[in-house]
Amino acid sequence: MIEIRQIRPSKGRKTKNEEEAAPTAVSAEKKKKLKELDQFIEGVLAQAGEEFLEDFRQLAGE
Amino acid sequence: MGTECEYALFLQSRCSGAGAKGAREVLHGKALAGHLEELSAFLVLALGNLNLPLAGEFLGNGGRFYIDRGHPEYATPECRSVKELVAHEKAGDRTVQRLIQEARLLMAQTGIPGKLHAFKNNLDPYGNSYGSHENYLITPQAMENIRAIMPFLVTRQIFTGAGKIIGIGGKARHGVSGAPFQLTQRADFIDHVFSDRTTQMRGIINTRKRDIHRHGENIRLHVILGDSNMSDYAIALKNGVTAMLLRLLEEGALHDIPNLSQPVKALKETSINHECALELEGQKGWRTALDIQSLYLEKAQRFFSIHEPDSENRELLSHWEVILGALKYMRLSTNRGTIEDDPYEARRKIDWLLKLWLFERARKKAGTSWDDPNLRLMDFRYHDLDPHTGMFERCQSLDLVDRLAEEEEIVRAQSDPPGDTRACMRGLIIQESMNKEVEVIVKNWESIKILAGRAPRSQHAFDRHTRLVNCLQVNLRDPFESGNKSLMTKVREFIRNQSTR
Repeated sequence: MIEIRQIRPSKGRKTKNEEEAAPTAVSAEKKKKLKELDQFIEGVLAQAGEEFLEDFRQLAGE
Repeated sequence: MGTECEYALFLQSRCSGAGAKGAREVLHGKALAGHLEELSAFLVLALGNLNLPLAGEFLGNGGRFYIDRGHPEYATPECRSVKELVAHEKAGDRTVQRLIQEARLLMAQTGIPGKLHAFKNNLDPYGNSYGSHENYLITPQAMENIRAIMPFLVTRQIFTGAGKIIGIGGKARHGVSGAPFQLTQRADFIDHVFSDRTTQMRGIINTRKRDIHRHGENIRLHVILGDSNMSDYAIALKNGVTAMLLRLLEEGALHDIPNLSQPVKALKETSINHECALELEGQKGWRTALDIQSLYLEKAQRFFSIHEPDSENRELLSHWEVILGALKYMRLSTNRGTIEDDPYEARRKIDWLLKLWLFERARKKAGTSWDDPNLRLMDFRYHDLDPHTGMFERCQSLDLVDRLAEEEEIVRAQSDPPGDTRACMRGLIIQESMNKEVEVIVKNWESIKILAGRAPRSQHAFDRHTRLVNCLQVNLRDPFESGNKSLMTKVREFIRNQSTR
């Protein structure tokens, strides 16, 4: 099995980590969206509550 | 072609609501089946409340919504265009979500606490598997050579997989050193290449026979190994490229494709590690899933360099090439389950990659391990159809995914049938008989009976007999027959005559 693909040099557009991108208007827009996404994920998980997660723990253990 | 999606239901409050921590039980067996049936019953009640044009299980858009073994299922109408199929599958998701919202109100009125959710997923939180089936028309001769597309079906998961977390514990159970994450949800539930069953001994191809009477030429190919996709691109490529390769098969353009030595094993191994080495029958060496997909792409490109492709096939070929190119340059650490680089943003089109990317974000923020139940919850939430809580839905609204179906196409598909298949006649008959003095009985995909008068409350033999005599039988045997003017005129006259009596 291959741990990490032995990759050929990538051509064309290269997007590393979005947050590290140049501070252009586009990246600012994207950063805003990513922040919104992270807040959304946090909200979904917070809403789940500890008891909800307990069921997942039990099911995963089966 | 057409798809059938089974949806998983989940009532959140059952877990997060009242009750001392130790008092809650995880449902199993008959109790679980009963619980899910009870939830589904609310969807049926909700369907009645929405006042949609429908005849039994069939809808005015030509599709079908029904409860199958306790879970909701939506079958798209027969489509000839991939773009239309994507719109209709998405329309099915919207219809199910509308039913969920209505069912929540009904449940609240009945005093049932909590919030009902529908997941377009192949798993539910209880470990049950849900199908996502595809139907294609092919010639009997092509069916005899169907093994020629088996390597394609097994390896297409690199762009059609919906992704599934298995965690560190799951890795140990699988006895692999691969990722704590799998590409496809269905791989674990497929045990045979061919099988006539859709539960338990599932095959990549379901051989349950269904003849399609189109000049005696076609039969149905029923593919049941696919994942339920949220991404428009994944839906389009899964169905569109499969249909395209079936055409190549019919035209004898796939004659020298090598077979996989062990297709089911290859399916499961690729799901764990998309770059694993797959053995081919009678050939030395090995190929990866991407190599095999590239081989098929090359065949298709060669075929369409001789046969002028229509605009849809041209577009599909381009999307397929782009996605394989993006995967070629994508770097993944299978062991850590992290995306090292995704220079062409393949995650905007592929469900499993987007899901993996979301997990990475959550793990980085919270510093959690792969066994964190929060990630398992996220896995399900990715498929939640509720725009307020669904992860994919939110990514879509934030423009973090690429779309193929326009919003107005999806809205239209919720009410209108495709105009170029028999679904058109079915849909029109259902729509035009709504609130009229007739009862439409859609017996199956091929046969409709229109009875005079609305469904009687009395089951008196005289009433039944009168209605059976005064009825109109409509046969839709040819899936490609979209409009029969004289038949439609007859139907309209019949409906009008009953209304003016």
